[in-house]
Amino acid sequence: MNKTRKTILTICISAVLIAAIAFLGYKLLFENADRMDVLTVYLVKQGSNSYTLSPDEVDLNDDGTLTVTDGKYLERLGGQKLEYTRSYVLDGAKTNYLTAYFDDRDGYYKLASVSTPNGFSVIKDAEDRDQNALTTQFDFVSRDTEGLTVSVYAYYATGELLLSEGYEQTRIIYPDDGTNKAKSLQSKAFEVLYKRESESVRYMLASPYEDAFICVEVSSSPFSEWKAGILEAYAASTGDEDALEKMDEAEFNALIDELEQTFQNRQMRAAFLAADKISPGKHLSGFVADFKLNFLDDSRWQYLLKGLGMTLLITLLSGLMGVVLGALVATVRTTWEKNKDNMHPGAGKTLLKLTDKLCGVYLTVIRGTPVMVQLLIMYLIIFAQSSDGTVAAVIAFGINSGAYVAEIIRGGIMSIDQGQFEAGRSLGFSYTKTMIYIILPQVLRDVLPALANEFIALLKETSVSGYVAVKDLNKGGEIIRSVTYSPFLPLIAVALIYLAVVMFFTKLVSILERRLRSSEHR
Amino acid sequence: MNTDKNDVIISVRGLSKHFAGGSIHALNGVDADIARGEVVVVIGPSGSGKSTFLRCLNLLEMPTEGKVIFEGTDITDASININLHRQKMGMVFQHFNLFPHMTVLDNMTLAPVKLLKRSKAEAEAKARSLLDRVGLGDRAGAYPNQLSGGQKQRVAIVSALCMEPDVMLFDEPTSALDPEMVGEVLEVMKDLARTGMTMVVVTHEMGFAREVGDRVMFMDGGRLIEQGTPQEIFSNPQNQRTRDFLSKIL
Repeated sequence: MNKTRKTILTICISAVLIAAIAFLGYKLLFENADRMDVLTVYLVKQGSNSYTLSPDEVDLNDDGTLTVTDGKYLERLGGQKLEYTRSYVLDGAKTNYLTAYFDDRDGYYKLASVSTPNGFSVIKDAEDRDQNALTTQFDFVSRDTEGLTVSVYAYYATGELLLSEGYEQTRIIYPDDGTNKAKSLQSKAFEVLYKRESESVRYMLASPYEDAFICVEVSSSPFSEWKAGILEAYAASTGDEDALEKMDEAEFNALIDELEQTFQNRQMRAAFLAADKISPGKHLSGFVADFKLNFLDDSRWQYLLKGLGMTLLITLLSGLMGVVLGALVATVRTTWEKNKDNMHPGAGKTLLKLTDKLCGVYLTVIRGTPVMVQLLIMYLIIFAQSSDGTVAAVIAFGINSGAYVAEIIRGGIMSIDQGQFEAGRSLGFSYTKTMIYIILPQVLRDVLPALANEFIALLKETSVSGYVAVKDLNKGGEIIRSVTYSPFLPLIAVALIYLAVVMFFTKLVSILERRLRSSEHR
Repeated sequence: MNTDKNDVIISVRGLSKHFAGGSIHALNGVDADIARGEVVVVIGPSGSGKSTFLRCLNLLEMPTEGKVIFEGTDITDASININLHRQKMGMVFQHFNLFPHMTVLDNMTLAPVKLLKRSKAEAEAKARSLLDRVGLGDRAGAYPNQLSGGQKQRVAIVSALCMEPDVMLFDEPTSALDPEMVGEVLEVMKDLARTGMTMVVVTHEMGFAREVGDRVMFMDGGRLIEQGTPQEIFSNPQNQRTRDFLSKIL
């Protein structure tokens, strides 16, 4: 009992120490670092119809992508095709905006397809709310975090295209006849706003016809900052430099209402709603704010909780599968090993020999290749049709674990004194009955701790499940990171949860071991 | 050949056993008959094949050639169920081979309950009476590791007897024992012999062979060199190799 108390104390002290180190590390590394979140505002001027999908309206596919294909305008015009190819790097599960604008009267712009070379290629067809809708904006969300490159092919018949996808790389292609107010307004707005630092990646395709379109992207932390962004844009477009200088939030909202009158078809509200979700944390500071941002806002902790559930589920199911598979393979191998010399030749012996060889190949292949590769093979090749990551992960980890379990059990059986087999057989027990009544009870006690340790190792191995679109604990942290752009706390939290779970199971194993030892009669 | 007991229980013909892919010939064409009620003691130097001979009798070693006919059945035949025949052949090992995870009583009742379908109570009653007979009535609940070597071997003997075998095979039953414990085990074996049990004993205990054995077999080099009554073998061995062996150990 005293020992148990000591262990619990050790665990508590370790947890406190880790938390303290995490806190200090956070202070040192991140407290003063600039961290900006992005507020995106679309103001669409009268004179064009536009539609922007709000995040709520975005219909996500299972794998987190959206689909857009529509060639009807192009076809109608029999239009010339302009292929515009650019590459984008998408960020995480963050919503990325792609806006296409087209105008029935003067020209046709239509985004035909957006695709990536690797895997995620589907983009949702924007809802054509109104047959006369002239502007379509597409949002898409990348499925994976880092390094995915997206190529955008834009086709249009006449007119020009505006494409922006960020700061330095902003490109505005003006219409031939577009030396007008819209042009100056837009360029000015961009100029101001792109000075701000932001990690935003925003994609926009739009027609910059006069009075047609304004896009403002504001990066800011506190309200006052992004207000300033709006102010600048507003000031730039109205020429009134001071109008918004001292607005508070209520007044600003009033202005937004006013703007609504002016810009009949605007998308501001949706954009501000999105901002509200991010900004409250900004009023706090430092660790608390970061904690709030990463875990409390939008109930992001649920990613971790659900992720942990998924991790445990996968571990449990694949662990069970591993034990069953491992026991079978171990049985085949030891049966062959122990009986090959005493078996009468015949079909049974040949069959057992072949099965043994097959098991040998299984063990060699599975133990000789990384589990990650096996997982990807399972998901991308064997389960290519269903693309159910969870099933693929359970089976891949189950098969992998089975190989190690088989060796543990085989080792256990082979470590039992040959005399035990002989004693059983000489009494008249068959090989199977000798196994069941005499050998396996002893093996079980010997290998149970090793099996439990294999289970713990498996738990940690499943952290690569994210690669096959399984939202496990590790992936949960990744999702949070990709939304908040704050890697520290989510990573530390994920690590701590793994640690806590592993320590819990380790403790169970040691209790189990002690129990077994105290009941040992050798 | 001992001829006063004609009821042959085990008959061995041309028994050979090769190990390591045929490079080691542990047994080279052994012929022998063991009569019901007979106590046969097998002696010989290390590596003479006497243990292999014994283990071939219940097919713990599968003979490379030859036949073992037990109670009229050729048990080397692939089509017979060897497990049924082994139930009639008790075996006692040098290292006892008790089941460490079971009590003495469970060790003794496992096979009768599982194989002979005896009731638990019936098997336990028999086990307890056998334990009493060998002076271990108070150790029924003990685990093997709580027993001395001599006690373990006595338990091993009565465990085999629980199956009510027709023949008992002893594979150097006293070789792993401390000297002061050899006596108690031999005493049990002598008692057993007195009850008329058929016994094949591989041993280095010449005193036991002389006192209890009906017949002594001397083996060397995988062959049965000489056999006869203890009197004949110990007092007047015919073969030079028998004489050499006996002169070394007596």
